[in-house]
Amino acid sequence: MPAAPANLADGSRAREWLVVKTVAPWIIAAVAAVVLVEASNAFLLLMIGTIVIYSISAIGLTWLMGRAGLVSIGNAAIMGVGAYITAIASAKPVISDFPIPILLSAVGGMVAGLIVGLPGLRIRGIYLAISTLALQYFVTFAGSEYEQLSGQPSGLVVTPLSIAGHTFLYGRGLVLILLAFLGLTVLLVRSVLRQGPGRMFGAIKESEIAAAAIGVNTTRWKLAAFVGSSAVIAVAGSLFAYYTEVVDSATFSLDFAITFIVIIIIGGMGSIPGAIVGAVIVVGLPHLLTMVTSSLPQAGIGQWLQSNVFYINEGLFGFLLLLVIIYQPDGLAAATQAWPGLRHLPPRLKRHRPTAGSRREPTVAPVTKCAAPAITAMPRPDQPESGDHRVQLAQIEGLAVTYRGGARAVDGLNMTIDRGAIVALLGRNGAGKTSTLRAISGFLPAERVRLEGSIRVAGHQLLGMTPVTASKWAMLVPETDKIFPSLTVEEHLRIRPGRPDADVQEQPFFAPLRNRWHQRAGLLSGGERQLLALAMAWQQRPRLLLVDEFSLGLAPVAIQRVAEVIRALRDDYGMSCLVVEQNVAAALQVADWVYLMEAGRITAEGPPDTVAAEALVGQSLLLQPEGGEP
Amino acid sequence: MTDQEAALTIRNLSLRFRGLVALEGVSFEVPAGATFGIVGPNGAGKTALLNCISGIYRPSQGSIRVFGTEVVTRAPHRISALGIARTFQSTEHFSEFSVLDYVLLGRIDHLRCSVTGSLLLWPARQRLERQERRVVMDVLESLGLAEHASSRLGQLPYGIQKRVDIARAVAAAPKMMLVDEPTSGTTTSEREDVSRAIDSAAQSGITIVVIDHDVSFVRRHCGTIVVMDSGRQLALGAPVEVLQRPDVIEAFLGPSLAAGN
Repeated sequence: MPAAPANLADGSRAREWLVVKTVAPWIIAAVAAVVLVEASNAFLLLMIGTIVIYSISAIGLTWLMGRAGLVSIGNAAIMGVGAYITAIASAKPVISDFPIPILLSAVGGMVAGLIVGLPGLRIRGIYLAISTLALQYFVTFAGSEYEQLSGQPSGLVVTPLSIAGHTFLYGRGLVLILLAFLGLTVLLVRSVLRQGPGRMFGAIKESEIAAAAIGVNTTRWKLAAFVGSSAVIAVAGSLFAYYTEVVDSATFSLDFAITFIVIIIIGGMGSIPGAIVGAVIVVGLPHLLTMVTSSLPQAGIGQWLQSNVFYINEGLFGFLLLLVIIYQPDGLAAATQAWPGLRHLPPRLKRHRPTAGSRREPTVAPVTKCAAPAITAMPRPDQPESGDHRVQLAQIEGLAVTYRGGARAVDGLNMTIDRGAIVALLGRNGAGKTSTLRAISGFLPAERVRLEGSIRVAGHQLLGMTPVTASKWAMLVPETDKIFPSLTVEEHLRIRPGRPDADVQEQPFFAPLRNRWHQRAGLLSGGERQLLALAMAWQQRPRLLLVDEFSLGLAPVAIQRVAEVIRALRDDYGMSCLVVEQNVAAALQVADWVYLMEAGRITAEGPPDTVAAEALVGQSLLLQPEGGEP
Repeated sequence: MTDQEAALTIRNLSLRFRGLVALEGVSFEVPAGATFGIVGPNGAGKTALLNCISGIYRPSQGSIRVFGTEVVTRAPHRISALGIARTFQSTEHFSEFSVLDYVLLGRIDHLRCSVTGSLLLWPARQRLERQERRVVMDVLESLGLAEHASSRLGQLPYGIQKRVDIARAVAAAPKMMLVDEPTSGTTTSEREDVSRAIDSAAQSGITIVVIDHDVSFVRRHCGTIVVMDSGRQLALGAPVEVLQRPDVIEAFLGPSLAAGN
């Protein structure tokens, strides 16, 4: 490491600063919390205690859902497991000493987490969430049965927490102990998530298959997430038992479980400070509102507010949740979170941190007409509809597509499409072809993708339109998901009102569909699916048809048939077409003009005769005999 | 050639998804230390082949031996533990990762980690983490990627993402690398950087199996290539010879153009 000696002195100072920067906010928060507890009245104290317990539980859940991406609504049940174990243990002579009930709760939570996690090895998403519900029902049932059997139908009474002979009933002392547990939880969970395990959880969250290919034992890490987070959640349940002094099965309801999901969404999925911020808001806001309304006069609006404060709270939460999900999907903590950003990077990296502007230099690549000089001199072939007077249908100028992460898929694209022309856009994987089509057809704005430049089709600016509006002028036949597998062919062609399916039936070029009229589209061959998609697009009669990779996975005969249909749509209806292809041969079968795209820009264009094809092909796409000679 | 010498031996490999044939009767051998290319048009089964080797798909038939070990029934992470690192056609899966964290993920077989370990031996684990970060920074520096270490993967240009993915595979210090379309979506200058990364991996003795569409790239790196078409093995041999065979050209360009040539 040649860079190390030079950086040593500088590096250690940087590291010290980093430690200060990392630790200081936590210390300040801890001191502030203690001061707040000491200074607060009974009302505030009750609120703080609840916030602290909810924070611990939410930290466990944010580990599972936010970091490992495993959806669970079994968290209330796991808190229940912890609470019951504590209630039972606290009443027994030997195991009632601090911290044994809490530790037993943690172990019980881990076992419950393992049981809940096992289905997660096979199922995911909403099914996994539903499977965690089983634990919910079981705990509620077992809890109420136990309450009946032990003769405490209104809940198990918890023997108060007692440390070294000092008994902590509800009060300042107990809340300080809860705070200490929160501090410990933050410390422990943070250290797990900041090291290797955090990366493993992140990997299974992003993609289990890719993680497995990298070498992550997905089974092990999924279970680790369930078991570890459940231990934390069960400890929260245990503390909850000590705090409320009574454990009742009705407490650990599905509603309760969802409260914590709301907390971590509002605070920010996967963020530990977010879990705390979320708990402060979810617990604190209703308390605050109650406080405000109770100070209002006992008449008129004040009285109305007081008697309806519960419903107002509920409504307020729905509203807040919507606002967060729409405007701050990373959570409220992320909005104010400047300090944890760099904490796990070695100090020497800080200086290298690239600024937003340095991602890609905004250089303008010169658009070269085809490599072979002869091509640029060639005239475009005559268009069947417009003869010698070529009329431009579409002009795309300076189109740039920037995805949310900041990656630029299209970077200053210029292109014209003549009326009645079939234009092919060729390029390698990732060149930006599909992004271009999706930009024209209006799919990108809804995905929060930034679009710049201009897309004019038949005089209309399509940039920023929705797909529905844009489809009047330009309609996309996408590469995948172009048909609905469970609908029949006939049903597909009846989707659009006012365009009778009989039209399609009469068209000779859609003839192959006639034999399949009442069959589900999921049973069609690749070529027939493509025809069906084209037929649906044709019903709309757009000026410009956008076709993405029509040849993908098709046999040569099928490719030829689809190409014929595209040509027929142009010849009979004057429909211009922009075809995106990786299969050069397929594209050249239909195209009058060819654009070559590379890294988001047009790098060459020309007519598709053999010379152009070879030049284009040779430039970057496929086979190029060395030295240009086969 | 015996199994001791071969890094990868594939015999009569077939893969079907409910009757759809993705691979059929693929057989070839890659000697240790060689760079081997897989080419073919889209949908030919190239990535499916890599997915079989790394254990994501279970072949319907046939055998895959990696350094003499049969891997067909192994779990993916146990295959990667044999010293196989693999890159992806697209890195979109890990867009939330920082470059540093992503490359650290490649060190998985070197950096043992566990939840209990992080809880009970935090300082020791932290030391280990720092040490691994230095290893990873060296890899990033050697590939000219050090300046991006703290960037989020999804925010980087595509070409840099591809190189980071290769860095992740190289950081694993594997015996064999499976590289899926390293030059797709890259500019000419980025392609040169990718080429250099492959070169340096090959020079350090890593066996490389690479899928790519860029013929000059394949020619430059691969001693032997297999040409795939519709799940079948069309040709096997040195790129200079194989790529001039009429049937290979036809598979790529379609009948009309091939005739025009």
